[in-house]
Amino acid sequence: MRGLASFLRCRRGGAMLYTGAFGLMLMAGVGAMMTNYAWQEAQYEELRGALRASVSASSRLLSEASDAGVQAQIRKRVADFVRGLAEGLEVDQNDITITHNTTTQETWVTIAGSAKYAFANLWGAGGGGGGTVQLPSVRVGVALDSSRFEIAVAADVSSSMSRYIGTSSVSRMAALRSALGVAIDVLEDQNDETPGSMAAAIVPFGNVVNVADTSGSGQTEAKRRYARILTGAEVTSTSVSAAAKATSNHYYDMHASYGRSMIDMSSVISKKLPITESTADWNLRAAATDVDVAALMPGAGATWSVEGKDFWNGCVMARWGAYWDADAQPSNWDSTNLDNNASEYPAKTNVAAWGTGGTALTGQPLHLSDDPPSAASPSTRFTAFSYPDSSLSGTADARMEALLKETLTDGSVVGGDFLSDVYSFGGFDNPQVPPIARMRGFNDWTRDNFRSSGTPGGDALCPPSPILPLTDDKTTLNSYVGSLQHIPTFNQSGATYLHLGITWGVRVLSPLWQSLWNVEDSQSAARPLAPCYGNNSTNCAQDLKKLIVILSDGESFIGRPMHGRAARGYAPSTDEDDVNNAQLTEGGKYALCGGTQTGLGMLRLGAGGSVWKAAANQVLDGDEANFKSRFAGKLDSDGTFTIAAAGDIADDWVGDSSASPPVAGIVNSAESKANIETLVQRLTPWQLFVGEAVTIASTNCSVADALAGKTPTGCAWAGGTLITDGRITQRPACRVNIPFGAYGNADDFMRIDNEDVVAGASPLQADGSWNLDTTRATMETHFKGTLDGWFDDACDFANDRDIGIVGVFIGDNTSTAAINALEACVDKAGGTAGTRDVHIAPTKAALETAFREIFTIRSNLRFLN
Amino acid sequence: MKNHPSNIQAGSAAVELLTIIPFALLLMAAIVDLRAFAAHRTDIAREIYTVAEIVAGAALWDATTAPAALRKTMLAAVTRLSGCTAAELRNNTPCGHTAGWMRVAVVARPRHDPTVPDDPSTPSIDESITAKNSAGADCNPAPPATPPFCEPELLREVDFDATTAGVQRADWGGGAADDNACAETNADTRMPAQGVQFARDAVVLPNEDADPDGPGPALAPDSTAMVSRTLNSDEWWAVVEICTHFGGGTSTPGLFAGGMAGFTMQAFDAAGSGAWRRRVAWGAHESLDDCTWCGATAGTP
Repeated sequence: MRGLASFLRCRRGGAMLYTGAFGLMLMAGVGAMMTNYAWQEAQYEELRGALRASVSASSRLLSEASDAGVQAQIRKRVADFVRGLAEGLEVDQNDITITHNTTTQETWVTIAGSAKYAFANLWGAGGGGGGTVQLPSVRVGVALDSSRFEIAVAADVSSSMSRYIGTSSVSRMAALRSALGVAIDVLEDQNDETPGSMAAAIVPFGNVVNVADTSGSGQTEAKRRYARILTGAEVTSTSVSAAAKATSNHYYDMHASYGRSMIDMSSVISKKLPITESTADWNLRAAATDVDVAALMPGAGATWSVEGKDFWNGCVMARWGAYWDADAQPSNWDSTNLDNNASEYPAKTNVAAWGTGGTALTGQPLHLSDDPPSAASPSTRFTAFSYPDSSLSGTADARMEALLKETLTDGSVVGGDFLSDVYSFGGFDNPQVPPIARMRGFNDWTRDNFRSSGTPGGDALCPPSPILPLTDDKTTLNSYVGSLQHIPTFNQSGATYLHLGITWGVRVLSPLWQSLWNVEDSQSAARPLAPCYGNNSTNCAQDLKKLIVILSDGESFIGRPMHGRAARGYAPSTDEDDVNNAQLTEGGKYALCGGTQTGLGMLRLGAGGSVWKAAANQVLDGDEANFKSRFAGKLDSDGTFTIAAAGDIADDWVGDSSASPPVAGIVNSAESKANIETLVQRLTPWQLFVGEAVTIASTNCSVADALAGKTPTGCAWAGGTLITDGRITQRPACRVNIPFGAYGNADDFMRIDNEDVVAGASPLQADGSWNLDTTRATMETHFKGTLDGWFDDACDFANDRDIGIVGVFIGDNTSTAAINALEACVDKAGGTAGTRDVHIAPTKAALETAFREIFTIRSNLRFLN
Repeated sequence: MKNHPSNIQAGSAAVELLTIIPFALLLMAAIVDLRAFAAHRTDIAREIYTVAEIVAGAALWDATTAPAALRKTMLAAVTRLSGCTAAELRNNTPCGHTAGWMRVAVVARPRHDPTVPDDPSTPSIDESITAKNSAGADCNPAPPATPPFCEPELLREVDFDATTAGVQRADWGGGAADDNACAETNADTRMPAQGVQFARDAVVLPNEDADPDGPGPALAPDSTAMVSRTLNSDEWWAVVEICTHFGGGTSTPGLFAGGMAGFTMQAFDAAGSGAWRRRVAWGAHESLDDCTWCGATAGTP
């Protein structure tokens, strides 16, 4: 302090000025050095950038950099480029050396020798190393990386793909085949350059997916694949594991219409795929396969001859859990959580990680996951999609439906107005032919309203082309694409479940499914490959990327609701006033019939159907009293049918073979009309038509048996009740089909086992608020919400597996809803939120361009330092 | 006169110290400000090379996302360099340190005949046919005794905040017509418009017209003297050019905002224009045939 005070008191200022001036000069000098140094740092930054850019300019040559001639080209390109970028740089080709490691494909470019760089100083003086200086050795290392790709093309092949693309006369399906051909060419080029760098799978989907070609006799690998997916057990060309034989949970679709009718179909629905070593047992699509319905359904009275292609075309049901198979019900099944909220799926599963270092996924929706089928885990197995035709002249359901109509249309019982309404509804324009003769069995898919001549029946809803597992073989791909077809066109079809495309896309890419697909690429590597994670490098593929290309021409769609029964001979039309129309049309009126017991039975009512509508509403409302009132004059005081009415019913029931033309009966029964009359006399309309259980006196058991289509057993077959679950009559009468898909019909019963049914618990539940005035649009919107929810969750699952999703929309950019649906999915799995990632293909050329771009592998220039 | 601490007078150490301090502070400010300016130049170099690398690399290769992702990348770089917010940039409101613009362009050599794929291993020069640019028009007229020659063409120009079709430049700190060194009216070394070839003596790389053998006049633009003229027909470069204006009342990066910093910057602006313009190029390692957006038609991406 004394020194400071002395300094301040000092009056010899000259010294201070000198000191201050010196200090300023010193500061200026240091500052100049600092700023020059900073200035040169900035120039160094530019120089570094220029050097890297100059290496990048020759990067296309780097993959061949081991060649001396190519190295010369690289040196020239680097020297020219870096001089062009960096002012003041003097570098000669001889200053540049190239080293290339053919194993790691890493290339190092070193600039040394006489290379000079003229640094510019901010200040002419002040140091900082300004001026032209010789460059120290500078090395830039690069590697040209190319990822390997496994790509699954999930292609919507619903019937709408038969339409033209844009304004052309080229079908969307033809355009897709052409675009896939372009992609295959690109794939071949990629693999020629780097063998094994790309493999592709194709997943055609509608509202169900075909996992393997099951045609022809004898074993094929496709059939074994199918059997493995159904059983989750080992099935090879030489042996079928005991587990496979024991767990071939392959059922007919006996849900709903027949599964829970008064006819015990349990032995049918539990029928298993005969998987053995015997060649004969592998004829899964044998023409005219007979099902011993006569034994199983004696009351049905006919042999059930299932047409070719009606069996096991290769499609499988969605793995919802205990939908069809009690054995498949997982332990964590929660029937109270059946909506489309991922947090509340009824069946969840934990899925293994993909290879070492991958991430196991917990609590995933069973039906969307890539948990592979396992014999030890029934809930992971799949059930066959099979919808055999019942080409009978009349099933029990049909007969009972007709009986109801016939009774209600009896003008002597009900008023003339009612009669005319019902006749209008029924469209029975030929009085000589009883209505029953025109009724069709629920499963009768063989008729003109479902298919054109010669095409399959119910299984026509199954995509004709099965999934093509991953392959890099151009011949295989081209052959497959050449025969790729859309689902046959029906007026009722068009159903599209987008989530199935994603879900099965994940499964064809999942290494967990490797043994199920059992395919190898041209390098003899089993596909799908497991990607490497972290620092792992063994038993996994480096730089492997997986991609799903989801292609569609629309949003998810439940399918076109239609009548379960149509008057025979009437083709569907779009005229909503055509009461014979098998297709429901917008603006028409539909009804749910029977609440939880009947599920989504819907009744289309024509404009004149007010009385029928009222009767149906009474059924819906459980209004037995008013329903009964419609049978005034036909009932005794105890509410049962009079002898006369019972006789009329029996007449319809038995038919009259002596009439000309013969009048078909309702049931094929040898029982006398008198016996039936006796039985019907004991029933109320509600019991007969709505389905209230009634105890049958032992003396009437034979009649009851006949009515129920059972082999006489003395009433033991159904606990002594005639009607077991309320579906004897009105349900088929009201029922309307929504095309059968991977989750069954809308609001099918949930089968917990072969006996018990959880009504209204199907994957696709009807909305309980629906009524006779509910429109088709309302129903479709409801189901679309469910399907959209599943689609969202499927896309989330793909993202969890680190699978990228690319969307391709066939159509123009005005279809914002469909595009946005794909966009949302893409954004969940690697897309950029807020930007349009979906490829929009309004033309064939645009579709081809999209596929060319998607399949072109982009290499990545990676700097090593 | 008694000398006393409270009696300050000329010649005293205190007076001399107080006299020196302002100069010292001014010098320190200038040094720090220059240091900040140098850092800004470093940032510019880093950012524009980064943008160029991203454009030319695989990151933006998806056909449909490239333009959007590119704009996003450019916007991030410009936001960082300009000190403006994204909203200010989009609204073209005065903001940040400077005025200026950033442009990203794709430059390639036109094919001789767009309908015939040519050999990518040869330069785009062929004496036997009339050279055409990508639009099918004749290439720049060749001078006598010079073979038909297609100059490089600017295939695509991207505006980082293009919201209006046809907007091709990214300006900030004022509109393009503003009176600053980076205004379009002063962009004397501007690249050609989208779809237009470079002039015969125009450079693509900023220094490529320098004589590779030493100082001297610029070489004639033939097929070998300029590296951009040796582009193969399937090659393309991502070219990024940035111009930042300082002075004219706008602030610059540095400790002090305003006129002094501007004065400092202008003092060291060799060109005297008050602007820094930098152009860099990055070679793409993918074929032009695979570039899904770089050859698109005019307009915003």
